[in-house]
Amino acid sequence: MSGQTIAEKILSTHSIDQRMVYAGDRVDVRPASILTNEMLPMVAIPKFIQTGAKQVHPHFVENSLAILDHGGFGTTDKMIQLHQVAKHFAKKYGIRLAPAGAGISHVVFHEEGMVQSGDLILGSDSHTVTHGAFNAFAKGIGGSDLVELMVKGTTWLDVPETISIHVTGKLRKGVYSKDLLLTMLGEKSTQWGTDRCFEYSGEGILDLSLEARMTMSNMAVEMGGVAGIMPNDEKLEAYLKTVPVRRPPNPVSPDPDAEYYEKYEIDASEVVPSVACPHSPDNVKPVEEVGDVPLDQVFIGSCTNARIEDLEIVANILKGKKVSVETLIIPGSSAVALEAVRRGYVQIFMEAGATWAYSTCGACYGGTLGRVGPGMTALSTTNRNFIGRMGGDETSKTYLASPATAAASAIAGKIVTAGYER
Amino acid sequence: MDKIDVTNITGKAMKFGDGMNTDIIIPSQYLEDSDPNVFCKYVMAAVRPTTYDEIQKQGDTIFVGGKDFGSGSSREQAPDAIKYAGVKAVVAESFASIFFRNCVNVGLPLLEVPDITSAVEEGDELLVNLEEGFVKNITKGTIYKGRPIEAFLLNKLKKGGLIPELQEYVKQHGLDKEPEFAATFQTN
Ligand code: SF4
Repeated sequence: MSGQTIAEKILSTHSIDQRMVYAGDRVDVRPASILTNEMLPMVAIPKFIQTGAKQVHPHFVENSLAILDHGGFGTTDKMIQLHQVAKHFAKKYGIRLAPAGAGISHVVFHEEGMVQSGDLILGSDSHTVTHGAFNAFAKGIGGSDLVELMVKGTTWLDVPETISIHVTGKLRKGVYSKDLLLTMLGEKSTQWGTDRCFEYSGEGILDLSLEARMTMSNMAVEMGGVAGIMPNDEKLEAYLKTVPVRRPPNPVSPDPDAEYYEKYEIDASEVVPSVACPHSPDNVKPVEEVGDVPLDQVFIGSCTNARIEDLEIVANILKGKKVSVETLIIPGSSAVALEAVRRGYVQIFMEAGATWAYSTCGACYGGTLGRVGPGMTALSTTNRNFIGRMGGDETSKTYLASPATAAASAIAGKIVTAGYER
Repeated sequence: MDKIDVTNITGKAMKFGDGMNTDIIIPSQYLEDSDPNVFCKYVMAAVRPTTYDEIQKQGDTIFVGGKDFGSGSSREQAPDAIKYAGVKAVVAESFASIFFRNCVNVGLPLLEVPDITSAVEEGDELLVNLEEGFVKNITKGTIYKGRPIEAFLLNKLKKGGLIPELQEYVKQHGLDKEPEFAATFQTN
């Protein structure tokens, strides 16, 4: 038997029959925790009713959290109705639910102690991959798969091949993990990891904060991957002690003789502030090469870049300055919002002329706040800039960048860097 | 949900290019109504606003796509929108993985065929055989081999997807009854 990658190890420990599995195997699994959002009332509840089931599996009841993040707070009659359906269903079956305003799934989920190292996490949202930052295998699933978990407490997975991303060197001052991720995406493509998963390692990764790692795991799905797994270290162990997680840690590292589909290496010290141009996250250029792009709107938010560290970066840049275009800042969760209030960031944002909103997905998917209309150009800290993604049509242009680039560009009114170590 | 004859799926080709992601297939603003019969009217509207009406006019339709069909979000409403609009199958050069699984789950037949976009013209009459993994272009009299779907997934498709399979499971395991709380009290 050859050695195992992190993905192979985690899928082995979560297989129903506790067998050793390898890339190419198909395995029945019981996830450690399950994430859901409006997919629950929109797709899963109607289909659950179609199955005729009158019971939700106890494993699902005990280990899931539904977070109403996409629809916003009291936005439309239909959305309010969907939220009501979710709340009634959750109450009837004893499922934990975070209501509208609590925050974005991929920020709230770990704050609520749903994630432990070594976990298998499945969620009805493609950015469930974010939780790979906690040395877990976290993957997005569809609404029917969620119904299968509700009925049986288990589902099946194909064990993916792994692409190793080894990051040597350290990011320069003023360059962020978003820039690193975008640089890789530009070099490769949105189809790089199709059906495969990523395993991150190296000095450049260990040097990052947990929040910066979450940004990179989050966008593993934009690189086409089914998961983006980070290594365990003291930073992760210390963080996991601060959240109410009920399982003991189970850190996982790959065997030295594990087999990889590809071994990719990148030197973090060569990365510069980068931006993804319309209309694909892999259409990447250094910020200094995009030319003169006047902006109509800047959005700082989403599960990619709206944690307290992101807001700290933005506050440091906006302090004492004024934005020259409409700038919307949406915190990742109400806990993040509260911390931003405590630290005085909100005052800085509002004095700079930015708009501060309650926590929700908002503009990221063209939802409840800050849609980018036809003919408009926006800079956003989110993860996707497909046509129509943030609203509008093919005449609406979205550029993706780090919170630092977004804040500096909000002041300049066009895309610029916040400055970085040369 | 109807069982599907996976050896004989026919329809007229409707062509799309590379990178048809889920935000194009069905933009989120149409999803507040969870009835697929309603949101399917907006299928592909971002790139071809007349898609739904064209399908209603021409009847059985087969979508032909380029690379990375269905990338992006995990929204299962994407294959649902395609299916409920009256599309019988999707044939593309490659598929995103969550989308592929969602298609099987909702009972939308799909086949990966390299170079299919250059082999098919808009409006060509196609026959898709999933069992043997090929597309026959009836108009041109040509056959293109694809990557056959493995038996495990093909069986799910034949049954009409995951929900019919779960219906059987629920019956077999007696999950269609409310749980008996009385039993819990007795054991204490
Ligand atoms: S913030 Fe954006 S990417 Fe993240 S879960 Fe919400 S809509 Fe999806």
